[in-house]
Amino acid sequence: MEETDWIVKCRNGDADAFARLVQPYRRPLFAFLLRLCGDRALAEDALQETLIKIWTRIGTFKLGNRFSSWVMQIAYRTAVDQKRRRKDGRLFYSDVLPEWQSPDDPTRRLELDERRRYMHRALEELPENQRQVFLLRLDGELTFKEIAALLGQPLNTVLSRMNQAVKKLQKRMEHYRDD
Amino acid sequence: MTRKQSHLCKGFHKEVWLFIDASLSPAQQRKWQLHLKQCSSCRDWLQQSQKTLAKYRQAPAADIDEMRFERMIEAATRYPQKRIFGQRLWIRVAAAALILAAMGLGGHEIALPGLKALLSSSGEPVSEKRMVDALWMKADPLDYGGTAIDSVLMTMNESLLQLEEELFLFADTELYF
Ligand SMILES: [Zn+2]
Repeated sequence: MEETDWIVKCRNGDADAFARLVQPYRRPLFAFLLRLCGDRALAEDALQETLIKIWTRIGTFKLGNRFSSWVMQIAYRTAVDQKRRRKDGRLFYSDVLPEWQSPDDPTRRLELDERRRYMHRALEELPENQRQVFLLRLDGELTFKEIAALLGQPLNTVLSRMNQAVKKLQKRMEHYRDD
Repeated sequence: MTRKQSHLCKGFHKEVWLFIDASLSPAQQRKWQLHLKQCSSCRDWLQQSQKTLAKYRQAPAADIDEMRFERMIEAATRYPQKRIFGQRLWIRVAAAALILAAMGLGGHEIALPGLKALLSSSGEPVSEKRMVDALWMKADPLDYGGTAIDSVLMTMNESLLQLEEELFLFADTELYF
């Protein structure tokens, strides 16, 4: 069965089909939301809300469009909405490094933790509008045209923000040792 | 570096992400491929950028417990699904009547008030321009001269679904930004 088949079944209220449909999105969706929310509990709330929206609005998804984009756009809006409701000023990312399940090997854990911390800091130093584009592309895997439409910005603006973001990250990572 | 080259390089930097996504026209893709062969500065720059992205992708991402995710899925499916235009025949018939009326009387001015009434039941804010754009892009009356009512109904249904999706996205955008 293909994704489209599960979507069609979902539209007829098939809950099992919904589980099959969204199962592959578990990790990418959560990772994306965690990066947007910057906090595990908030990301879990946002994930629950995203799943509800996907289920209740599946009838409005236009078959033939990219389902993954639709899902990630809903996730993005949910995260933005959540931040707006909390009125905590920052839209993306918090200063808290989200905890995660580390591997058992201590050396490997240390190395991965270091790399994560480094990346986190580098991302956090980006201006919000650049980080937004970068996350939507890298974690949300949206195309630049989709990002432009989602943010209501001209494509050229989005492309130049991506350039600036990558340039800054690159500069930051020059100091980080290679494998 | 000649003046021409630096102009090309600037163009490449501008379009590099579309180039990587292969979402430029085939001619434009070829143009940059050729440029990359000839320009070491752009080649290095592209390589560096891709290396940065690769490093980002290698950094481990967090995950959520499988059982917890399954419980979330289950909780989601307890909510009623939105079925505004998909299921009820009378709405489809009314919509088709509206579009046919508009075809006969020559303009969406006629169909709009009725459509707006139908849409208002969804509770989403809707501007007339948005409605016209979404609806007539899909359902141009000129396309339906002499077609069976069934196909008009189907297209109408599809238009309304698409319209609803656009309104949902639009409504969120308007509220949140
Ligand atoms: Zn060049």
